[in-house]
Amino acid sequence: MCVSASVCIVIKWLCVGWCGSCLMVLEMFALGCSYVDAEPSLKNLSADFGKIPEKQDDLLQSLGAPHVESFNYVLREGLDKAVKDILPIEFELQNGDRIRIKFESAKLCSPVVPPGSYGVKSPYIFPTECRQRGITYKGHLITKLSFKINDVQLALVEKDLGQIPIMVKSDACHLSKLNPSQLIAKGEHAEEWGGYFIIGGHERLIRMLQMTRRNYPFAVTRSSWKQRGSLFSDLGIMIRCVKDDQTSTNNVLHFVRDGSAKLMFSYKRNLYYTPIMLILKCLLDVCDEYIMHQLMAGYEEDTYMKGCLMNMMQALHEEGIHTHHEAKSYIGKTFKARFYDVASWTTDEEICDFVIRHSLAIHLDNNEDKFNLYILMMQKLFSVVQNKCCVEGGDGLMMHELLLGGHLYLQLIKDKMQVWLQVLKSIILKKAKPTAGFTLTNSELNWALKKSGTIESSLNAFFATGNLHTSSGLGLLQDKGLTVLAENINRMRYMSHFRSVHRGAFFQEMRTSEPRQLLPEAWGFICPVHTPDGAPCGLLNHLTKYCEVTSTPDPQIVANIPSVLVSLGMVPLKGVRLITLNHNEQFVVLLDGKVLGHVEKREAPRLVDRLHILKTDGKRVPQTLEIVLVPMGRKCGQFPGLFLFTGPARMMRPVINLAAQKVELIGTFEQVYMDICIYPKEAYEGITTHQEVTDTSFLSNLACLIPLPDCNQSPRNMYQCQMGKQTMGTPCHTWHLQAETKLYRLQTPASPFFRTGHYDLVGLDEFAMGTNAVVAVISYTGYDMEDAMIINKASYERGFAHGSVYKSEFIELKSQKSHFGLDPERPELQAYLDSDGLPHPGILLKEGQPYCCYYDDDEAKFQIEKWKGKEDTYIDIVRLCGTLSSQEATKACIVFRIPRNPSVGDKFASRAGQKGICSYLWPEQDLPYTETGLIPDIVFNPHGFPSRMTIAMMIEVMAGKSAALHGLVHDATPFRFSEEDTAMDYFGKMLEAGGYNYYGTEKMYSGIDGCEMKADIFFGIVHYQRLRHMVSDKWQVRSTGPIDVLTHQPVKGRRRGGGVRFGEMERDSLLSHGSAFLLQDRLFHCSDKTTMMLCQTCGSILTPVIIVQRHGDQYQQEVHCKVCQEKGKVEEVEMPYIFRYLVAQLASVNIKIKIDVIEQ
Amino acid sequence: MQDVFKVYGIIVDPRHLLLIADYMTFSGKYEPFSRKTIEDNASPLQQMSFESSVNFLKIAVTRGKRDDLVSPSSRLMVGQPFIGGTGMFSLLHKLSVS
Repeated sequence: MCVSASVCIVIKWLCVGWCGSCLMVLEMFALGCSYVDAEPSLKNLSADFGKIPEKQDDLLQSLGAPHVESFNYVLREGLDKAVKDILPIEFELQNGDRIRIKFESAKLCSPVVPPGSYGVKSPYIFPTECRQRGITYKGHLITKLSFKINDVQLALVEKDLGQIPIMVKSDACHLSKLNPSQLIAKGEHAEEWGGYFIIGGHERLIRMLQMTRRNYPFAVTRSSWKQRGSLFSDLGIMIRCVKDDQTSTNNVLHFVRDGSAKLMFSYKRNLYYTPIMLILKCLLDVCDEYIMHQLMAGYEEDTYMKGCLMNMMQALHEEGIHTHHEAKSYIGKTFKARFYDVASWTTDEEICDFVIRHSLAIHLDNNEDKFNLYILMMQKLFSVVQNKCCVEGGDGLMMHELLLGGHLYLQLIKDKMQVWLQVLKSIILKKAKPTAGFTLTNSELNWALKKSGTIESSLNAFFATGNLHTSSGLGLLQDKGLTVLAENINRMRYMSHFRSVHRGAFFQEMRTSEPRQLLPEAWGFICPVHTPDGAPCGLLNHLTKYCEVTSTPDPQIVANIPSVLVSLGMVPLKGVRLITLNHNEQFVVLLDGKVLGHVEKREAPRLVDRLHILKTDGKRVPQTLEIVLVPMGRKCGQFPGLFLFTGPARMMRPVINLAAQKVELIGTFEQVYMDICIYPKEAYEGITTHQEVTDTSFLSNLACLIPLPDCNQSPRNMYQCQMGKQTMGTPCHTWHLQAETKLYRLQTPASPFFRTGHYDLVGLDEFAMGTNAVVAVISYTGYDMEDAMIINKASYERGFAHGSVYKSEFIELKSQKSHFGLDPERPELQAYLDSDGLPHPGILLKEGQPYCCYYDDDEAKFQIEKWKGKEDTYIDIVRLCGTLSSQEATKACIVFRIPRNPSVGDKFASRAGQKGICSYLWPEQDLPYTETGLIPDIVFNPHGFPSRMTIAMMIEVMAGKSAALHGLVHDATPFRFSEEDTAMDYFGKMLEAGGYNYYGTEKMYSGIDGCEMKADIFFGIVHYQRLRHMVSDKWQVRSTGPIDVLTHQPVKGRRRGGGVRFGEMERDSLLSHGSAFLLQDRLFHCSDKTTMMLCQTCGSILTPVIIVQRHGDQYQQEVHCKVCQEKGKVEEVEMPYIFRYLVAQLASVNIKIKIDVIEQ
Repeated sequence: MQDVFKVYGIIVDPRHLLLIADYMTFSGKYEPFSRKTIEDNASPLQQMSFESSVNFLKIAVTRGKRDDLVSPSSRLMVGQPFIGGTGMFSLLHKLSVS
């Protein structure tokens, strides 16, 4: 009776405690979206747990989505666009034939076996096969080339440019359309989200990098710009222009201190500066007055600007450039020598067109649009110069977008194809040069095509190393570390790889902390908690859980935007402007870097509101449209205007549009000028337009898994984000199909009692990590100093935190004639190996035992591989890898399983950033016990609490205990409790209802003498994580061992049996302690003590030589100094070898060291 | 200096401070702990092991300097225990000759 009553009370509390969030959940469902903070449930106790779902989970799919979608864009349209943009190669042969080679099309094919392979069940290659065989998941890049000789078109030629890596789960991957059960049948996980490449069996992904926002001119100051030319200022308007095929280039409009402006553009890593007036003249064939009128439109009263513009125009005329054509030929003439890959017969004006097309505002096709953009940039520049608006700076997230895997991939292919064309040209020219009367016949062409090779190896090298080698640099600030290994240490680590965003390696070197700062505008996009501490702090960030990265929008809807805008009140540029308004009476409208028109100041807010409504519905304008109305009238604010963005690679996040009661995506720039509330009660009437979808939407997936992060000191949450990623857990379910270099597995994981709703949403029960431990917070044995913790030996013996490490090794035979097999001459091997030379799965392997035997054809003998590890290990899986061609050598993959049960020195942590080392496996009988006879699994030192202030862990002690008591799982989502309604009170009452102390403490009895302890002990259940750092991987010991050849000092490194460095500071320490002989022992006797000869006469240790002479049948050693000959008195002395080395080195630069010896 | 540390609850033994003071004033004027001061050091090997080795080496070579192997750095270089602490003295054993 008593029990049922208590449960009733509990249920009542639950209702009271959660009614707020229940309402919210209902509201969210009414909006028809999936952005909810669900409550955790014990779904692993339900009958449905572990069943294969019908459909993949949206939240988990969103992890790989930015990567996969960008790659699909490449397959769908990007590749076609890039191929069209590849410059044709034009050159002249000696016989006067003009050759033009151009790529017509390219197609990326799915991974298949080579034609003619026999014995294969299916022609498709699936990712799991690549992982297990340690090969690359790649498909052919088939291109079509067209050749023109003297304008006569030849037939199209097909050329295979080799096999290049394919992204898993992209449309070119065989997994793309599979449902969970089909995925499992193909050896994948049900929720596989793809987004990575498989390179040599390893999963690698292209890192998302923060880039400058595309197609938006923004004002920057950079002190380095002053060095760009005489009188250059540090101020400029920069625009990163990105074409449809993702090719990018920067244009900077520099302010020169004589009141003029110069435009910077680049071509093949070279920067060029030209007066802006010259460019404007080249772009359009209009009169000076038109240009001036356009520049001054809206700024008529600005006399400074007018003066500057007049001077700039005048300067042009002084140079003798008066007309459009003169300007064009001037540019052409100047750049002819620079643009060497343009055919030699191009005219000056054509070269100017080439420059305009490839270096100036390349995101726009039309010269008039380019002209209008430069006009706007000039107006912005002069506003900034006169302090009418402010400098924007490049560190804020509002000026950023991301570099996506697919986009970089496309750029790389494009660059490599361009280089390949050059190679083809040089092959043809090389053949043509010595042969008089060479004509390009079909057979010559085929020969050249065969000779030209593929782009396979350079692409593979990029993915394997992450190092980029291109002619243009692809507009990136770094050429290293672009791909990273998607380490699968546990689910958390693996997940967060796909959401990580790096600021760029360039900033890592920078001394300033500005790029590392968390700015308010990053709210909701970048998680404030989830960033590592140390060198990459603030540079390596993670996207929040609902942050999306836009993909390429439907071009038809985008094309529709201008007409929608006109219908909403925008006056197009070409439209009839009744009165030219002043610039502070109208907003300029910019769509993806194209000036569309103007909108009147009082019309603008209404237009924007309407646009927001249209956007939520996504029919007339894309849902990913970013609408930024930078207001005017503020003193020195941002340059006003209505800026619209539709492009891909922008960060966007969902919020509720309160007017439409629908979910709307907002961008980073857009957010800055919006009013968003978190809870409805915070909304200001008439000001607040939007509301957050949940109050935790500003956290990343990992930060959302921390129990009650709002009760912790903030750095503890950061530490937990780090440690969560180092936990041993369940990285995969495909244990029998994996060949990862190293995997950690926890044998007995458990689901936490106290967890956030997000835990269930990301399905972490299926990849469980950590165990629920009974924790007593007590300083008990003295073995718990400095964060050490004591583990109950009996719990350990019952399997507490048991784990193992899986290591895979590939044994690759050197030649195809080699084979695995047992050495017939060594019958003793049969005890360990099977007749095929491979070990039996499941056997125990000790140090030095053979695990594989093969016949090496090169050396014509059998070779044996022996286990070098110090630990005992088991053979888990033995696989002989298949090959697709007879040229490939045989490979075998052996998976070892090393048991790693907890031992003293292994690292554990709770989920509140409280890490500690196990210092003792304490016998159960000696540990304290409670009145009910419970003995803790872990003894945690209470001194860990005061300075760390991890209140969440204390709450977890109580929550875990009450959850176990009542058979519940408690919600640990942040912001559910408040100062009035505290978590401690909630769980305390619940404990009380279960018959326990309200404060979570218990009376305990000493395990040693059985006496009751005076203090009540805080006692409960905490979810503990076992971290992957284990003593077995780290211990290092040496008495004697290998020494360095050069210095004769002990080598360093654990693996080589080396020593631990005793450095300069350690030396100083012993010096100051006065331990002279200890120091001598470390640095001399145990290091490089050598006995050497010293000539006392000349004081040299280099000159004495030992001469062996033969006296009769006896050899006699004689020592004498080479310099002093017989006069020399040679003695033996003991000195460090490195001293001799120093003396020898100094001797090489003609410095002599003389040593006097005083006999003692 | 003790006052500076006292705020943080760190107690410094005055002998440490005296040692520093002695080193900084032994030449008769204030000297910093720097490359400049070590120029007056008698042991060229110690000078070289401190900072800017090439410069000190150059000076030592051109002036034909001699190191008496009394400074800790130079003694460690030739494998001798430094003179100080337990290396301050040596023991004489009385051996009974039977």
